[in-house]
Amino acid sequence: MPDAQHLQALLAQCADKRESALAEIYRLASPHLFALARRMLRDQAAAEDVLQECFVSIWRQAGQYQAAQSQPMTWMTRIVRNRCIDRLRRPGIEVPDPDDALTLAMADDSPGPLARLETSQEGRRLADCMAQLEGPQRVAIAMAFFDDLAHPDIATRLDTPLGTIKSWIRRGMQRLKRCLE
Amino acid sequence: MNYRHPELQDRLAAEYVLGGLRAGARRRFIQLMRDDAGLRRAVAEWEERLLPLALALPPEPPPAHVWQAISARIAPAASPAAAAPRPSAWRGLSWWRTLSAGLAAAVMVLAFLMLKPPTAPQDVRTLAVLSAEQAPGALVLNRLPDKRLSAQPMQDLVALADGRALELWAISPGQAPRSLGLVLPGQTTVLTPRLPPLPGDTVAVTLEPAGGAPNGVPTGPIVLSGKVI
Repeated sequence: MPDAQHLQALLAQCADKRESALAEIYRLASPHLFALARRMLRDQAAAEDVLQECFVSIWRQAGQYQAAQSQPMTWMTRIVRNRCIDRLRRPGIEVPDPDDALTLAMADDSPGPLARLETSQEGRRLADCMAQLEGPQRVAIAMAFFDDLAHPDIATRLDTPLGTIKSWIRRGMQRLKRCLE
Repeated sequence: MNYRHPELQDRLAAEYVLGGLRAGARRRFIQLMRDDAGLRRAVAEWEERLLPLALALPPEPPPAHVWQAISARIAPAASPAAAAPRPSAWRGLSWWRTLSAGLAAAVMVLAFLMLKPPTAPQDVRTLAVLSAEQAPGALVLNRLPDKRLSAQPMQDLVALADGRALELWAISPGQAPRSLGLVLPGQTTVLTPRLPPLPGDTVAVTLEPAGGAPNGVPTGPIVLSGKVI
């Protein structure tokens, strides 16, 4: 996982319009950001478009990035995630069904996506705290996060009443917050 | 509803970051965020908590053409690196004049970079991106942990080479080009130059006879060029 200080320095160089700094950010971060766009959009070409748009945005907005307010990887992930959400929620757009393998694997206490998260510096604490949630809470949160599913869609996919899904998510998020404090 | 209540703000921020606010609710929330620093802070905190979840996915390198498209869009309109290669530019002194403007700028950038705090050591560092007008970001020059260089084509350079050898050069301000070695058009080449490129150097690729420029002096046209950060 890219080192935060290194990425911060590179973003500062992007603000000075050093193209090679963006090339290095791309080399370090694009495999993670592309995986997220692929997962959310479930479409290779759309994910490539989004990644291109996002890196042009990162280049143009690098001067506005403030290290005091967010980690560089968080800042870039937000750009990618918000653009994916905008695209997924365009009226009339058809999105293939998500593959539930990853999100359902979140329910297991055995190593899976959380083990991968655990290996990254930024993800370690989150992985520990996610592991403390109950399996269904983790799955509901993962479906909202990775598949941009609305609460009623999660309820349908998990064949669980909507009220239960809402409380799983709300309580799960509050437990995460306490755990991460 | 009183949107200024910290607990409500925190709950809504969590919902927003997770994606639970849909359509009108999301639009209204974004509107509220513009005018409310507390809400923006709550969102930033939730993003810091939750967005690393993306790292639970197996990393996937995007295909090479994505970087080429990005590189083409961010390249300055009239940079020397993007200028079309002109074989005649090698004759006489005009080539050096073309470079000198870029070198002056490079010296200023170097001075600026030296004022910056040092970056954390990394395994591999990108030194330069070499481009041509028709091939933006075509070749990336990296420094490996063992100080050797790797020249990584971001697209197939076979057509660009046109049957000739691709030779990579570094040019320090006011000095003659020094060869860094030959670059393969279709795969990453590891190079071990005696003197690696320095910050502020220009790096360029020329077309040369098989085996490289016979007398250690470039003879063919420049097809790619860039600056060392």
